[in-house]
Amino acid sequence: MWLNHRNDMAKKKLDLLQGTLDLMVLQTLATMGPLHGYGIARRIEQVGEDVLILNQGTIYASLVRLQQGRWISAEWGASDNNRRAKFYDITQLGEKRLAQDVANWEQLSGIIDRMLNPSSGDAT
Amino acid sequence: MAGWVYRFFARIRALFDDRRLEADLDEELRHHLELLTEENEKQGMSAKDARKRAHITLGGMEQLREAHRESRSVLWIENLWRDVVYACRRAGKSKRYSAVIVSTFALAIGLNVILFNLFNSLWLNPELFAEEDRVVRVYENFNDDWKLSPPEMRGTSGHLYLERLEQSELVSEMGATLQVNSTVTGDGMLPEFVDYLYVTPSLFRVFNVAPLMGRVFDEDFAKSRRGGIAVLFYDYWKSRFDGDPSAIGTTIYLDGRACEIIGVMPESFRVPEILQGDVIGDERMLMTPILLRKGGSLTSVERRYSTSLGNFARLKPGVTAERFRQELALLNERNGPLYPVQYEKGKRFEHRTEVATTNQDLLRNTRPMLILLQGALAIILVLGCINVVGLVLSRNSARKQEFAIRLSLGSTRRRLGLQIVSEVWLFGLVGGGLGVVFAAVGLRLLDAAGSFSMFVVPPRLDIEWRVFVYALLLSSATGAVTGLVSFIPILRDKYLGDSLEEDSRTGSASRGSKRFRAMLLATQIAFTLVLMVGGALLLRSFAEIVRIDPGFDSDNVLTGVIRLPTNRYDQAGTKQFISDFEGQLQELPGVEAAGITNWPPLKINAVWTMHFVRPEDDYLNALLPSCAGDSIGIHYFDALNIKLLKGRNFVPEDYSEDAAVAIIDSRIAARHFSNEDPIDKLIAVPFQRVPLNENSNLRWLKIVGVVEPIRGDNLLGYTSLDGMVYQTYQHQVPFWIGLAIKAKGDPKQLIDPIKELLVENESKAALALIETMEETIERRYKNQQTFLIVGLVVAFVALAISVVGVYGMLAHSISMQKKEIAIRRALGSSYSKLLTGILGYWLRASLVGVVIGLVVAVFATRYLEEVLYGVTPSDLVSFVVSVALLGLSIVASTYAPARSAVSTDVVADLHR
Repeated sequence: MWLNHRNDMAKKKLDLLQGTLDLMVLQTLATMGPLHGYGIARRIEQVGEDVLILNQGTIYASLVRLQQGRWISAEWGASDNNRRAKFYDITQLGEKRLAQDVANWEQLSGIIDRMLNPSSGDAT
Repeated sequence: MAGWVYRFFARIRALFDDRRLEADLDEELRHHLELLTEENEKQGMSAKDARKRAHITLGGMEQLREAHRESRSVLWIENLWRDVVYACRRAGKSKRYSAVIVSTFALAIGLNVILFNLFNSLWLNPELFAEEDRVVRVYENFNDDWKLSPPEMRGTSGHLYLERLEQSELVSEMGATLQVNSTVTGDGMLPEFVDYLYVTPSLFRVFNVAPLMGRVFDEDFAKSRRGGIAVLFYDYWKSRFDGDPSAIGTTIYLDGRACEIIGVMPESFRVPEILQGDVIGDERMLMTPILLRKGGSLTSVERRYSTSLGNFARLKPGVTAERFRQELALLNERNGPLYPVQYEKGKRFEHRTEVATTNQDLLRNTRPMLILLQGALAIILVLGCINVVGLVLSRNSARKQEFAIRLSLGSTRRRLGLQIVSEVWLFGLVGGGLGVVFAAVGLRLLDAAGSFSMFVVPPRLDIEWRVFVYALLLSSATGAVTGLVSFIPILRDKYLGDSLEEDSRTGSASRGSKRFRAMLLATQIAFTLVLMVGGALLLRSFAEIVRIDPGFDSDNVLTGVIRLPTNRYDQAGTKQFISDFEGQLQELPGVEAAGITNWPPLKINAVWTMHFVRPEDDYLNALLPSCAGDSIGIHYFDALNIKLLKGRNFVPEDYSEDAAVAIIDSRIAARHFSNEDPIDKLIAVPFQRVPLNENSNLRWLKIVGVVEPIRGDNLLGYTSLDGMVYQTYQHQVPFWIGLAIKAKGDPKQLIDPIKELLVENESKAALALIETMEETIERRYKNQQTFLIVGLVVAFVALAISVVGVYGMLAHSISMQKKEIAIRRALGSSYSKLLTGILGYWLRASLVGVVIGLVVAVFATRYLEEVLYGVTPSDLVSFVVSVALLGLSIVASTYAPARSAVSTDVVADLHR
């Protein structure tokens, strides 16, 4: 519990993003297969269509966190330009969490949707 | 759940894999940057712009690393480690600064560790206190005038003992002791003097201690051997038998009674001492059995309210000492009236029965000392910490720019604070480590100096694990608190972030930090003053003690005690021996006056108590006033140069059978003969305090002289006894034969001739406790002396620490104002106005400290009351002198830096 508490204290600015970033990274790895950090960041940016402005470096904190939870695995390999790069891949545990998170997320966004647009919610 | 645990351990693991993880991250980030740069270049940017753009997209490297660390690891541990490493590096760079801080901590913590070691040996010694609260001592407390001994050092009577043994429901075992002494002889041994204990066999079950060697006795064994057995105390076995196991089985003779040694007790076994006139040494040597049964002389109903037996009880599980005391009170209430005669007597004084725990018994003499020391050393620790805070503050103000730069680079105040705290904390730990070494050496030095003789149980000199833990906790806490306090000004310094510019803007230190320093200064001065007043009081008290006139002349006097084996000497034989021996001594070359006494003054903390009666008094059934008594030889007053005020000294005729004379001291004269001349008046001095009746056989003595009073038992005050009545040894035969011999030269030269004399006349007498009167007095002063030395050392260390600290803090604070001063001077402020301004500020702060210190001292010195002699805790002289001395050193340490700050070159300072 105190670990979480620490994070809350230290990272207020990223509070909202933190969980979502983990979710995005997992989703990216689930659809794209093994990728290095740069690749993951690029992919998230592409999907975000430049609306989502991201300090690309922040994904590394997310990556190490996911790795410690055994949701993703990491391995050193050679990149396209033949340089040493760390490749990340989603694990079975990660896929399970992804499914859970996606369900949570859909439920949550549904609720928020209805809260923000009560009329449309009533109509349907 | 399992995931949580796994993640936790992954974080802990990351702590140990730090270097690799960091390197990995760097490589990834570098790779990421390169890819971003390449991409930007493809989009047509210049190489420089591409790289710049890539850096922006990726984010600040340092923040990324920090975020990564935070995600992967237990951050505070990791930071702490970093800070410690950093602190070590810094400490290595500024050696003098580190050395001063570490040694301050080492001194303050070391002193406290020494004290804790004493506590540990006494309070926390499991061997001593295994039975704490289960084994208690019972004693009778009477509301009477017999204040010879503190009531808690008295005992109980055999009659009460048997009654409680029978009726108490709360004790599981009860044992009694009787302290006696005799000469001990054995094969190939010179006659020797021993104090020993008669103990009931149940005593061993009360204390539940197994012998170190051999066996102890129970009732049956004691009966089967008819009491002819002895168990040795450890110290006596070591000193008399060299710790030889073959001592067991040998036979010794106590006043001619054969006793076989059957066992040796372990070193930690001690029977708390009760004070009783029959014992002169301060150590019991052996135990031999006694069986108390109804109708014996010790247990007779007539002696129901005597206090000569030590009484120890083992309580049933769960019974507290207090509950036992209540039970005893009930028993007293119920049983007292069953013995009308004794009860009537008992009613004359209030009779209460008290219960003392082992703890109270063992520590009663040293507790005030230890508590005082504890207070003083705590203050020294605080003073040391304040000094360190002062040092760290001046150091930090020099590092202000560094802090400012780090803040602007994204560090937080909290991080900075943690770093300062861990730096000081580290110093604390290192200081604590050195402190332990310091304590180990200090303990041995103190022991070598004999400072521990006042303890019932000699403290352990080696540092035990508990002491280590204490040192670790203490130094850790000290370091952490000191660090936190020195961090306060940084927390409060609003401008720290801007302090790159601060100096140029205001030219002065921030007001907050100045006030903080003033507060520290006041605290330091307050604490120092408290210690100084304490030291001054002790010093004054010692001066009073040294001035005491014991009432006799101690120059060239040799004293000793002789005891005759009772199996060889009856009363007549004893008288004859004394008379012969007195003559032989007087004839010895080098002897000026061979004084015979019951026991030499000051030798022990007791006098022989008697009771005082005049024929015209209504003494029947009255409670008699007490007085001290002595049986002396003809040369005694000459040997000690005790002045005759009236009448005459004893003459040879007074030593004949039918003479009946006495000499009193002027205190008796003043009390009982205030309006008349005591010479030729009749008095009687019965031993027993039992009220007299018509049948009492009193021997009336005629007063022939009045002498000056002497302090017979206690240097620090007369006992509440009303004075001394001297008789001749012919008429009151002493149990011991005390020698007080005035020599013509060095009294020590007489020791061997006296011993030879005793061997020559085959007296089988044992000579003990030989020393010069000077040595006696020194020995009796010893506790006060130790107290004084310890007190003065503590006060001096405190003053030194505090003067250094005050000076350092002032010098630094004033130098911080240099720029401000320079500007003011440039603007035309006069030299003297500036000087008084600066002096005024710091002296005002000091004054606040002095006032607080005075208030605290008034309360704190009350705890000294018990150990002071001749001065009250609120002694004005001590207060005035302390304030003056401290005030002087404050003014001196303010003036010098203030002057130098004011008179330096204005332009040079502004340019700095």
